[in-house]
Amino acid sequence: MSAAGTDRPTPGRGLARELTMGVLGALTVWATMLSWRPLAEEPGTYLTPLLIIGVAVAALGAILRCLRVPVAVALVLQLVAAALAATTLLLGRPDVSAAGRAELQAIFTTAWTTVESYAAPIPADAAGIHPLLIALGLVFLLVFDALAVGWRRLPAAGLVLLAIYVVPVSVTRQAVPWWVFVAGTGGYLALLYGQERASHTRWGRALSINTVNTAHQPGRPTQTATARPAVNAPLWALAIGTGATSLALLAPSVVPTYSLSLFAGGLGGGGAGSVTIRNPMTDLRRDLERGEDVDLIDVRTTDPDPRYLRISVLTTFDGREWRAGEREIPADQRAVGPMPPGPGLTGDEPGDTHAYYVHMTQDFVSQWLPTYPELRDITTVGDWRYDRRTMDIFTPDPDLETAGANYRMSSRKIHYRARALARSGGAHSLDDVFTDLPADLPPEVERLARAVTDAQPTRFEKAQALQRWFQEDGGFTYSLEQAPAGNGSNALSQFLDEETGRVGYCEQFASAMAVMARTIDIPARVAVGFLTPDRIDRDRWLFSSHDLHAWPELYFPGEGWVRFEPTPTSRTGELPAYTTAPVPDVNDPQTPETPEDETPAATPDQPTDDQNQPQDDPDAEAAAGSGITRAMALAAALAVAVLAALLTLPRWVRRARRRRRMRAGDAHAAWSELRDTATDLGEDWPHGRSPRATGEWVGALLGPEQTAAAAAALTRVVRATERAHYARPGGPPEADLRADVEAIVAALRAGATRSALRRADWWPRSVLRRYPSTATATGTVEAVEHGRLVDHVG
Amino acid sequence: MGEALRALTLRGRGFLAAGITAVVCAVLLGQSDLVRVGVLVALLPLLAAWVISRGRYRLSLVRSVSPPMVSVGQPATVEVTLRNEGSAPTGTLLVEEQLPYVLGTRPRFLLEGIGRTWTGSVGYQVRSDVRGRYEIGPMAVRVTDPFGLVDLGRAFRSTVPLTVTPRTVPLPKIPMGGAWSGAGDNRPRAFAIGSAEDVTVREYRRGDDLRRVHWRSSARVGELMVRREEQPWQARATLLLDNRERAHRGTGLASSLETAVSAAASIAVHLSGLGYTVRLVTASGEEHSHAWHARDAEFNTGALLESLAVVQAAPETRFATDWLGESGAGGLVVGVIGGLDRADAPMLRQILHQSGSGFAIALDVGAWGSPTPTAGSTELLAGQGWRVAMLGPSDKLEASWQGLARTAAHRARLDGAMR
Repeated sequence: MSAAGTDRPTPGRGLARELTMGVLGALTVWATMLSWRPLAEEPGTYLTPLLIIGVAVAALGAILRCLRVPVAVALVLQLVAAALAATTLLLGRPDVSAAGRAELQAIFTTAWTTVESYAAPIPADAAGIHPLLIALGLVFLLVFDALAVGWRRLPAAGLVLLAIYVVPVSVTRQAVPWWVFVAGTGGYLALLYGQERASHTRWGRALSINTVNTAHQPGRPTQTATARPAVNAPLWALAIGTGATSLALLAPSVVPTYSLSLFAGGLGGGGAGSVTIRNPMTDLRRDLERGEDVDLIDVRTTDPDPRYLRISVLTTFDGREWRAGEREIPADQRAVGPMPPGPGLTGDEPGDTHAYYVHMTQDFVSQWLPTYPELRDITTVGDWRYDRRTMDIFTPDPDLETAGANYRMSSRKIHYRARALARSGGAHSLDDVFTDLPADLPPEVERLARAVTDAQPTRFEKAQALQRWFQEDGGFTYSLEQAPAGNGSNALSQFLDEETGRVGYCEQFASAMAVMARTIDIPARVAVGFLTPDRIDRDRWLFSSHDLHAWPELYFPGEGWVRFEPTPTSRTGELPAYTTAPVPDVNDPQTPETPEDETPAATPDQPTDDQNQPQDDPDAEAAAGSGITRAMALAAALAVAVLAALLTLPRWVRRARRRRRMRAGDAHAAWSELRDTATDLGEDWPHGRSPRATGEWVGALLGPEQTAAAAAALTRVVRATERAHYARPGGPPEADLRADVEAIVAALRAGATRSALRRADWWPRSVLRRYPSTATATGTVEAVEHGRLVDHVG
Repeated sequence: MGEALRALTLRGRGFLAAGITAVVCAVLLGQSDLVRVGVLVALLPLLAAWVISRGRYRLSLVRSVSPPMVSVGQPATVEVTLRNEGSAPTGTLLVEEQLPYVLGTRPRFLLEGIGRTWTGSVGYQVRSDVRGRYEIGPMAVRVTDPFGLVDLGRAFRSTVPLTVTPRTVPLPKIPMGGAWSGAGDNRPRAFAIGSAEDVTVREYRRGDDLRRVHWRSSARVGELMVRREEQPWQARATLLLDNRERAHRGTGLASSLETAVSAAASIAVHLSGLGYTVRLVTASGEEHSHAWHARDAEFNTGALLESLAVVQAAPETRFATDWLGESGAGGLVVGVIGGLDRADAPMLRQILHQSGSGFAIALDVGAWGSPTPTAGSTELLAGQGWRVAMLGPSDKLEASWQGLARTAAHRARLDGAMR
């Protein structure tokens, strides 16, 4: 009775199913939208409303469909509901009047302006782009809902997911974390399974339930089944889905793609009281301004002065701010083991090497790994990679963060000598990114720079003069509170203006000096990191959030990137010695290279420099090329290995069979071995003949030597086979046929040509051939008791 | 694996193609995230096919129909017992019984979670409003994966026949056979004309003399038969069914042929019930499988009904008469006759000549829709000495049959008057 009662679908069940599918679909889309997190710095502003509105609208759609509203109509109604909800969210009230529309339009216009003027991730202080993302997300949600659940076109709906997934990837070129992929995939596969399950339910009733219904009603099947629980559909679905997903997760590391180029900026949500480094410069100010001083990094070292622990290098100045710029981090630049010398260095500059054991607290969240300049080697856990131009360390894995990490590194503190720096040549082969200035840079910046440095003969002395100007002559004051916001061009000119400015903190000092250095053709960049740690033990130092700092680094050919310190010493303590050391007269007769120094265009870099500048274009290309060729060579080797294994597979199978038969030693095994040997040798074994007739056929094949012995052996084998085939079971025990078989095989081989032997050894045809057998695979019918037919399929 | 790969559904093939495209694009564009998506989408159908091809299940099926022969409109129960003799299948099995459409909707079942030695049986009912012989089965099995990417078709091969016999109505007893005086339980025994060939046989029993083996019958039956010592009297009747295409009107269930078959079935049951051994003769001649020998009435009726279930309109324009000269000479002839013309008259006379007495139910074929009324079959038959009753589309067969008795009585009176 109960079986009859549950058969008819009830409206409640339909609603439950529709609701399940609809909400699951919405959750799937939302999970895929998690890949949008890098688009803006506060993903919660759009992801949370999308989740709530999405689930609600999907539920509405499910209810409408249960009321047999056409899918297209339901879609329109859902769209209206979603628009109302979004309006309420954005305006704070459900306003569809003209004023409300105008306000909405203004919101979207602002958001669009933000999109056009900022690159992802949109900083939190910019006008949010969340209205746009919410609108876009809702459209995606609705289209997916209608396609997947309404029209049951899941494969087409998959394209919606793909669009959601791929668009942000192409915008930010940032890897989507694996768990977002897994969540989206899981949801989609669950939908696919649910839909297929529903179609199965429509097909008919499951015959696996143990129900007994004795009353035969017309048209209603009765069923009885004795079932032992077995692996069933959900488990197989889980197995296939998990298998495909995990293989897909591994795929990017196996399938070579041609470049992995990432923009700066990580992601990740830092909890309260922690320090999160996404965009190093913007986060710097926030972390400095934060009231409490959070312990971040614990360093054990013998270095007496472990200052200037660098997190990242900002290479690009676009007029608005300093940005980390692009990184080339192919997989072979893992930050493990010995590290190459930095740009313009040979690695044997004078200096001291120290080892550092670094422990990060849970509060330091960054995708950049803090290191000292001039790393010698490093031991890290996780996919940390270095960039050859900047020698800072970044991870492409969005889930890998510094929180709680431990690593060891050794680094060399170079002893710069002012004299050598002053003699450094002018020509360099750095990337343009280190010298580029925005076109709209205020002209007074360059004017000021020239005014400060014109008196100095060499580039190094110009740099010294700049630092001196910031430190002493310019009348700058260090203040975190009165500083202009940001480090863009406007902030810069405000900071440099004698009347209104000249008050700031390390961000302004560092960026201003770097920009001014660039205006006088010295390659410059801004480094972000930690300044002075607290000494908590004889060899233990603790960096905290108030130690965050920024400083400029200027490039001198042959000397590499050299640190300067424009920020007032009230904050930074002592200055690097070489930046204040007097430079010996360049016209000193002891320095015969002077003329060359003054004509930098005519002076090529020293040969050692050329060899040690990996960012040279040809070198870079060669490096990238070698990466590709290495991957391809690896793939080719792998392919060859697999191919070889496949090609030799028949040989191994054949040998295994032969061993097994020789172990058995009975007539059947002997006969099979003879048959396979003959087949391997290219002979066409006659099927369907009696053993004796086949034996005569084999006898004709035997080689000229050992014919008598082999023929006798053959006779014995044939006899044994006949007995095994035809004799009443339980006769006299069979003689051991192993020796006979070996004799016959040897004779057969003696009669074969050399190429046939080779083929038999390496490409045995018997393994690949299928012998006609009495039992066919599919569909056998046999009569059993009571005259009823038993039919088989399988 | 190859079989499963060929069995990829449209969705599966689409996934495979899309996945490969995505991977190629991703490699060219350097998007490792797209590689993931592509690999996933391409792997799903491949994995599904692999899983499906790994299934080592082996289903056995036993099907039975009870009863194997039903009358039109009566239900028969089909009992299917499935047993998994291999290991658990790796996919969901969608099972569909192939049924002729007149037997109703095709039963469909879902087999899943069936392990080794799982046994399930399912029963369902079929019924048909159209007589005939139907094959139930074979059962089709589709193996699908949980995502609908692979759909592998397999089929059993065994079928079970179901015979749907024409509708019969019980007929009243009327005087026939030599004793047209009427009353009483008249088991017919008016056969005096037995030929030497008319041999009755029975199965060989231990102890029978080998010289009594009737080799011809043994060859036909496939086991040793011996001549009977005793020659019991048999009451024999020949049922002549006019199934010529030109003799009937209308199509399908509403045709006059169906009425004729139904009438013939009723008469056959009736005569068998009276103790007659009945043979069926159609326009094509005698149904050889039902040549009369010693059979009990039940078996005889079953075979007759089975023959009648499959009677179709025959293209012959004249009755075959080769059965006339055979051993069956004599006895009662009951005809169910459609439209006749003059050319049929000699044959009718010949039949009657060889038989003792001839009764005929003549169908008023003209009433089945033909605008042109055919020649009066009744008159023709009566003219040749048959006893005839008319059967129209709305007439009851019982009434017509009763009418035959009246005709017989009338004839008897006529005979008496003439004498």
